[in-house]
Amino acid sequence: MAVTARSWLVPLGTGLSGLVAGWILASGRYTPASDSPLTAVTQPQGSPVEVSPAVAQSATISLDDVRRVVREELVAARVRPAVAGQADGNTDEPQPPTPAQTAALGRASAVIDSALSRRQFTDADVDALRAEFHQLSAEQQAEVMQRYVVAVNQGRIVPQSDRLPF
Amino acid sequence: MNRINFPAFLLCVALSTGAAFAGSRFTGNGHVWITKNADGSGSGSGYLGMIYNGPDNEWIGCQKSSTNLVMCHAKNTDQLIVDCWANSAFLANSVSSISADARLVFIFDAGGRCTQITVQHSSAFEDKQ
Repeated sequence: MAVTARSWLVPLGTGLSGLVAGWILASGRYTPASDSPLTAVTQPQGSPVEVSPAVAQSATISLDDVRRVVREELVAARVRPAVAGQADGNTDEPQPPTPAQTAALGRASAVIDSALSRRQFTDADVDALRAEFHQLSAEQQAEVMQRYVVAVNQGRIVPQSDRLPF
Repeated sequence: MNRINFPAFLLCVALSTGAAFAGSRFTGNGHVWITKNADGSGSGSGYLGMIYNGPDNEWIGCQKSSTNLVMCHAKNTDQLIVDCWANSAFLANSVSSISADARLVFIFDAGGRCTQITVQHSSAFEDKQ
């Protein structure tokens, strides 16, 4: 009996050794430069960032380059939202809908009313709602979406396909 | 000198090899799973690759617009359909990360607003064929 138990130990040990060796080899693929000393670089906004000198020296870009790029990105990040807001005409106050948007909302609401009366949302309804949807303001889109989604979740409208209405 | 149990040795080698090369696989059916609560809230989930490959009439998906308008919907094998929508950059970000073979979960409140969208990618999931 003891011999049989010992005869299992050798193959079991071999298998486990193989697994451990494989794990060590696999983990050896990534060798972070953790041995090299780290230095702290303070960015303009005052947050220290650790940079390895070994990495910085071996790369083709210098620390000055990195500083310059970070400064440029920070400036761009501050400018972008303001520019985007101006381009879209977005302000804190929602703009009143234009007559065209009001008319489009009326047509979109009519599509949903019709679907509610038939209790189904067909491909033609999808096309009709999509035609109006992108003319609507964000608030109007939310209004239409709210009506549609709640009606579907309550089973008052049954979509006939997997096409979404916008 | 102890004798080595050769079949046992082969078994260990095979197990070691298997552990090294065979990935685990999701063994569920991957169907669309829908929950609906009494207050109108609920959820939808499913595995995109398995649903696409399956024979059943079910679907699940999300879309987002450039204005971060998000909509998700799902239909299960019982033909139950749920939808949700949101205007959220964070949820739109999740929708952007959906791949063809991901697992998708969306949760919505009583007003049909998406409150959470989870996208999971795993080697265990079946690819679209």
